[in-house]
This record gives sequence, C-alpha cells and structure tokens, in this order.
Amino acid sequence: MSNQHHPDTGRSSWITPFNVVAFIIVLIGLYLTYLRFTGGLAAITNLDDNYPWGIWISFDLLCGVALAAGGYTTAAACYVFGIHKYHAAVRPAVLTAFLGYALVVFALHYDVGQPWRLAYPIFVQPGTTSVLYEVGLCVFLYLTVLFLEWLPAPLEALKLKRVRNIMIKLTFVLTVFGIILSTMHQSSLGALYLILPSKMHPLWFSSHLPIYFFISSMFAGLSMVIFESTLSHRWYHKKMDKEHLEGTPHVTFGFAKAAAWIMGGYFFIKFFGVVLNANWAYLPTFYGMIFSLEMLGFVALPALLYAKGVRTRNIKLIRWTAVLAVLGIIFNRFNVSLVAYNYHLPSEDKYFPHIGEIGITIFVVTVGLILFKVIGNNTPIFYEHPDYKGSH
Amino acid sequence: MFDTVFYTMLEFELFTKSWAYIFMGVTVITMLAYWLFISGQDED
Repeated sequence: MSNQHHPDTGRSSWITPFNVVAFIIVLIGLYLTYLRFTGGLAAITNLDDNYPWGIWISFDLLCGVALAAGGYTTAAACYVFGIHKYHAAVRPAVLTAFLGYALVVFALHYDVGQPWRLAYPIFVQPGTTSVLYEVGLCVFLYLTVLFLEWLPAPLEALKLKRVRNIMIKLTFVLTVFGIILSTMHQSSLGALYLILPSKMHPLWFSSHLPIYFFISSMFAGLSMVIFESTLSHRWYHKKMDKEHLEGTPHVTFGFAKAAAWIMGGYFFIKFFGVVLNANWAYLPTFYGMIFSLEMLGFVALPALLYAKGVRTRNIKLIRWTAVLAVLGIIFNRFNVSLVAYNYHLPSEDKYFPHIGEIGITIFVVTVGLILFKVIGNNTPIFYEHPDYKGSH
Repeated sequence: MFDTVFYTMLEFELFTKSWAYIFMGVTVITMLAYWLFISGQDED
C-alpha cells in the first residue's frame, strides 16, 4: 500500500548527536533547577526591582505563546473555514501548540517567586480586575483545550476507540473555544504593557498594543507551522503518509499567502501608530534604528518574500522566509518587553540575562524538542492511524 | 516633519490626523496592488 505509513522506530542506537547534546543540556538544566529552587531567583538570574521580568518572560512566555499560535490558526482554517486541504497540518500544529503552552507554564514555575502558588489566582484569590489574571485564566483554559484537541492521537495509539470517538465529536467546539481563548490572551499579553506608558519607548508603546500582539500572533503561528513542517519533513519523512506528503505544499503556499497578507496589514497598522502619535522625531535615533530594523527587516521584508515565494511557487524561499518571520516575532517580543522597556535607565542599570537564565531557557526548549520527538515517534501525528483513515 | 513643535492639542490633532488621512490613501492603494501581486499566479 503506497499510502501506508512506514514505521521508523529509530531504535538502531540511542547514541545520536541529538540525544547526546540533549542529555548534556538536560543535566545542566537540572543542576540550574537545583540552584534556582535552593538559592532563589537571585542565584541564577539578574532580575531586580527595575527588571522583575527577564528573558523567561520575553522568550519562554511571550515568544512561546506567539509561536504556539499555529494551533488555533491551523484548526480554524481547517475546521471553521472548511479548508480541508490543510487537514494534514492540524495534528502537528496542535501538538506544537500544546507543547508550547505546556512549556510556558513549566517555565513560569522558575519565574514566579512561589511557584507552588501558581494556581492561587484562579482557584483561591481571583483578581478579576487584573489583565494578568485574564492571561493566566486563558492560558490555563487554552492549555486544557489544547490537551483535549491533542488527545485523539494518543488515544488512537492506545486503541481506546470509544473515548477517541467522543473526543473527535468535540473537535469543532474545542476549535471554537481555542479561537476565543487565543484571541483573548494573545491580545491581553500586549495589554499587560499598557500599564507602562512612561517606562516604554514611545515607538513601541501604543494603546493598540493588544491589537498588535494579536495580529502578529496570527502570522507568527502561520510561519511557525511552515517552519515546523520543514523540520518535520527532514526528521519524520519516513513516518509521513501520502495525505501528509501531498498536503504539505498546499499548507506551505496557503499559509505563506495568508501570512504575507496579514504581515502587510500589520506593517501599515504599526506605521499608523507612528503617524497618529507623531513619533517621527524618534526614527533617526538609536531606538528608531531598532524599530526600523524590526519593521523593515522582520515584517516588510518577509511579507514581500512570502508574496514573491507564493507568486513564483518557490517553496524553498517560503521556508527560509518562515525562519526570518519567526526570528522577527522573537525580535519584536524582546523589543517590547526588554529593549523598549526602561529605555530611560542609564546603561549600567539595564538588564542583561544571567547565564543561568539563558541555560534554563535552552533547557526548556530542549525539553520541548525531546517531548515532540517522543510523541511524534509514538503517536499518529504525521500519518493517519490505519484504523481511522478519513474519520476525522 | 521631524522637528514639528505643537503648542496646542488642536495643532497636534490636525497634524497627526492630516498625515493619517494621507497614509490611509497610500495604504489602500498599496494593499490593493499587493493583493494583486500575491494572487497573481492563482489557478482560478
């Protein structure tokens, strides 16, 4: 059968370059974890009263949530807008989103002073007037939704047919929940920074920050799906069935076209932020250069490259553009939360991450890659289970 | 444009809104052209 998946157990040897590097990183991560939970935040971070949030928020949370947006964008395209040619991309995108959000919550345990109280704002003392409460509640609910959306894959692998069929019937409802919750908290992450009008550089501060965060999350998610599918094709090519292999070009071109259009709109909306606040005078400054680099190099350029790639059917160009777009989102979230934040402070008071913070971030990303590898190898993510062909 | 000084709120509003309207026109035309460029090779 040509469309049968080819099991590639990868059991030839445990000693591969990936496993060795991952093992070393996990060992270092566990040691840093020990230092963090025995010595407190000061042991492995440069956080202080000026910078209570460092790269664990900028990268692990803000970038993690934005780049996990592929889950709701792909599910919406397939199940809500009915574009079923993107069906093959749904499970990898949902898995990426689920792991992304799970690692956001995992990383938060390092960042909050008393992680054992992480559930307090939801179950013990809800701060219903706080934007942070809304973010926490949405992430908590959306992580649950993503878990339920991902569940059919392991249930198929475990041959739990009845439970799996119930979960499949819930797909549409869960997708709608996912879109609502994502819309709310992607924008709320931007709304968190509305409290800082005097601490953030005017080029980045805007009353429209929630809209900027939400719109940028859309093309971040689309770009991440293209990027993830490129890597998956390299690593999981043998596991993919015919539907997945044939569906990937549709996903790549369709998502690139959507990302190009959304990025074009995002560029002009951000530009209107400069126009409406009369921020022209800041453009020829150092911060203006960074802002211009972000807008021209990491928004306008990838938008045009996506458009060029779609027009010329150049899949390689689109895949490299996805890398640029993903880097652009990381650049934007770092700019908002670290570069533009406290811009008026003298350079000696500025924050630079401690090596321990960088180590924990690399550890968290590595844990994500290991989990993706284990789940991708053992559940029907890149192929349809032979017992359920065409049934979801 | 870079060294504009505003003495009243009205001056600020007039300046920013005027430029906003001009850029709205530029944006509409650019986005239309951009859409035609993106969808130029569509099969249908």
